[in-house]
Order: sequence, then C-alpha cells, then structure tokens
Amino acid sequence: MLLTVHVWRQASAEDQGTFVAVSPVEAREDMSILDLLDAVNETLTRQGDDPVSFDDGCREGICGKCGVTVDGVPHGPDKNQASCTQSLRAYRDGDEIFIEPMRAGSFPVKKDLSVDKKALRRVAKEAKFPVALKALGNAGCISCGACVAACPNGSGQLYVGTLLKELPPLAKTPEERNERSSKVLDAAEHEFGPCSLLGDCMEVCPAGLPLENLTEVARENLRRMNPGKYA
Amino acid sequence: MNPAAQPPTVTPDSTPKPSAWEVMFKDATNAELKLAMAASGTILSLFTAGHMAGNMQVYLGRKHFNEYAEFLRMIGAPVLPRNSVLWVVRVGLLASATSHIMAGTELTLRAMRAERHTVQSTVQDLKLQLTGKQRRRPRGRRRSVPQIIARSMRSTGVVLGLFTAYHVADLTVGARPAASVKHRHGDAYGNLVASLSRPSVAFFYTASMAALAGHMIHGVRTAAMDAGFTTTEQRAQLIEAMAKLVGATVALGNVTIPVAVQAKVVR
Repeated sequence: MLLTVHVWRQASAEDQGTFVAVSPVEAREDMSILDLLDAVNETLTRQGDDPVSFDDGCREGICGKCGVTVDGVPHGPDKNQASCTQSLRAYRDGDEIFIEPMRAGSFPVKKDLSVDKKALRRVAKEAKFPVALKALGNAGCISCGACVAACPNGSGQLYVGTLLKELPPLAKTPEERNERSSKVLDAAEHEFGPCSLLGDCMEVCPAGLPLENLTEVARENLRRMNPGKYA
Repeated sequence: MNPAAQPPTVTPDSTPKPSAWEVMFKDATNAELKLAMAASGTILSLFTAGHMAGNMQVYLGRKHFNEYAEFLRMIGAPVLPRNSVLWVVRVGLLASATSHIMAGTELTLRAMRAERHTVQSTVQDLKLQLTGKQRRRPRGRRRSVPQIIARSMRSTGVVLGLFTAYHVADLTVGARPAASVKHRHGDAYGNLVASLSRPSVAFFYTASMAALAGHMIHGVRTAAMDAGFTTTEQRAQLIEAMAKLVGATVALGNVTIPVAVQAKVVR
C-alpha cells in the first residue's frame, strides 16, 4: 500500500518543529513503525532530502530505546507493543499517518523524532543502580517512556509505581527500603505530573504492566507519612 | 552609542514573591493532594448517596416527605437547638467541596506544568477540540465512552458545581428565578413538585445526574487507587464494579424523581 506520512521535522531542541509530508511511501501491513520510518527515509533520500532521525534499538521490543507517537498514540496503533514490534494493520492504501516524537513535558525533543528520556533514568537512579535496573527488569519494564508520553498529565505513575512495587523485596533492611522508596517518590514528584487513573499508560505499555502498580505510589507515600505503622 | 556605556538595566528581583496559593501548596506532594481529593470526594459521595436515599421518601407521599424534611432539622433535639446538626453537616460539606475544588485545581495546574502547557497551547488545543479538527486516533484506538467520561472529570465537576448552586437556590433558599413561583418555606414536597413540574428544570436535573454518574464512577475508583486499595487485579475489578453500581444507583434513583413528576406520578 502507498501511504502519505506526515513526519515531524525539528532541526534541534531549540528549534520549532513542524510536520513535513512525505509521499509516496511504499508500505506493507506487516511493517513495524520503525520499518515504515526506514521506508520514509528511502523516499526522502530518493528525493534528495535529509533522512529523519529517530531512536532505534534492538527492534525486538526489549531494549526500550525506540518510540514515536503515531496519530496521537505513543508507540503506534497496536496495543502493548513497542514501535519496533507494531504492525500497520490499522492503515489502508492511501491513508495519511502523522508521526511525531513521544510527547511529554519531561522528554525534550533532541532532533526530529528523537527524544531525551533521561527523566526516567534520573528517577530510577535515586534507588541506586544496579538495584533499580534489577527491579525494573523483574517487572518487565523496558523504560521506554510510553506511559509518560501517553498521559495527558505527564504522569509517570505506571513506571514509578512499578519501580516502587519491585524495590522492597530487593532491600536488605527496612531502612534501606524506606530510603530508596522515599527518594524515588521525591524524584518522581519533581519529574512527572499527577495520575488521574485514565489508563492510557496501560494500553501503550509494551510490557503490559497492570493497573495495580499505580496504587504503589499511594501506598509508599502512606508508609512514609506514618513511619512505624506498617511493618 | 557604545552599548557597554549604557547603564546596566536594573532587573527586579528575579524570584517574584510567591502568591498565597503557591505558599499554601508548597509542601503538598501530588500523593497528598490526591488523598485530600479522595477524602473530600468520599465525604461528598457518601452525602450524595444518603441524599438520594432520603429523596426516595417522596414516593411515600406529601405528609411523610414533609415529616422527613422536618426530622432533618430536628436531629439532635431536644438536646441541641433546631437546625444545629443540619448546619454542622452543611459546613462540613462546604469545607469538603472547597478542598476538593482547590486540590483539583492545583493538581490540574501541576499536570499542565508537567506537560509544559502554556496558556497559548491550551487555548489552541481547546480550539481544535471544539471545532473537531483534532487528528483522529488510529483505527482500533479511538476512545471509548468510559475513557471519555474518565477524562471529563473537570467538565462534569463544573456541571455538578453549577447544579449544586442552582439546587440550593431552588429548593433550599427558594430564591427566584431558580425556585418556582409557588415556592413556600416548610413545604418540601410542594416545592419539589412545583420546581420539577417545569420541563426545562426537570431536563436540567436529569442531565446533571448523568454528570453525577460519570463523576462518581471515576471518582470512586480513583479514590480507591489513591488510598492504596487496588493492590490486586481482583480488588481493582471489585472496586470498579462497586463504583459503577454506586454511581449508577445514585444517579438513576435521583433521575426517577423529575421523571415521576413530569409523568404526574408524583404531584
């Protein structure tokens, strides 16, 4: 099928970006969003333009590096798939697609579709590496940032809640547990917005992290507010 | 002129004095504000459920309903003076509503700040929404009605605020033009029938109950999340079902009254 892809072009972080129409783009249903972007770049190169930059990684949905917003949905039209494991089954011949970077206040755009997702790392780092990475790994979270991008409040509660759920079993002492959770809560407060339980994050999460993880933020906060009350 | 020769422009204190609003919410975390929303929302929900149950007495006839209205004024008597418990409840509800609105406003502002929204970008987004020129989401990912309801808490909240103001002016204070011409203090049943006999008012009350159902359903499940109850899938599903049951029961119970009055079942 032939598609018209409106792709976000932004020279640098300071620049004002805009959509640029690229057409025709030869696509197949089984292509992922990153394959589509490769096809876009082929068309652009053929037309003598610069290719678009985008975050690329393992293309197996496990590294969490990739991610763009497709027609307003982070990662793309398929639920719970990273951009690199999506399909184009939602589109028909002649359709127009708008591809822009993952939109979140805490993810500044670097160039074109590439964003800086270090806010996630800054929050996890409060619990000290490598334990934070172990916690995220245990949950299956690949730190792709789609939950933050999907949230109209810019909240990272699915990510933060998952971290807070998996950290306690990895702590050796209660003090260690409290310190890690408390630091993560403070960092999350600084980086992200509040959660309104809209559920968009759960639909985009490639790891399919569940709703139950959201409440961990409230629980760890209550623990901190009432020291000694919870074992 | 040599720019270096210019006197240095005096910059006013770069950190402006924080407003009273900023001072008030300076130390409140998102989780604490959400707890405040949950607590005040629960109080308001409990009142709304009780209020609906009380309203159902309208089906027991004029005499019984007016006696019930008088009973509400006499709670605590003869130890306490007439209306005293009523006023305690009223002040408590007003305080809950105020903290609910204030915490909600601050959380909205924080969400907008987290998304780096500006006044300009918000106006632009609103324009796109109102003119229907927003880009469509892909097939299979268009928003469902429950999702839209969940995202409409602020709109439904505003509707409920306006409704409550009208409702109090209509049936509590009896201020015209909100109240009907036939409004008479002390005759709760007669006032209710007179007010809801006006088709436009009956329609407004019914429509407001749709907002109430939506606001309560998403409010109850969010309050449970913010209080740390939804730790397992089963619990989350149970709370979801309870929220729907409570929201729908309260709203439907209330809706029967304007319908009954319009159908002349209650007159």
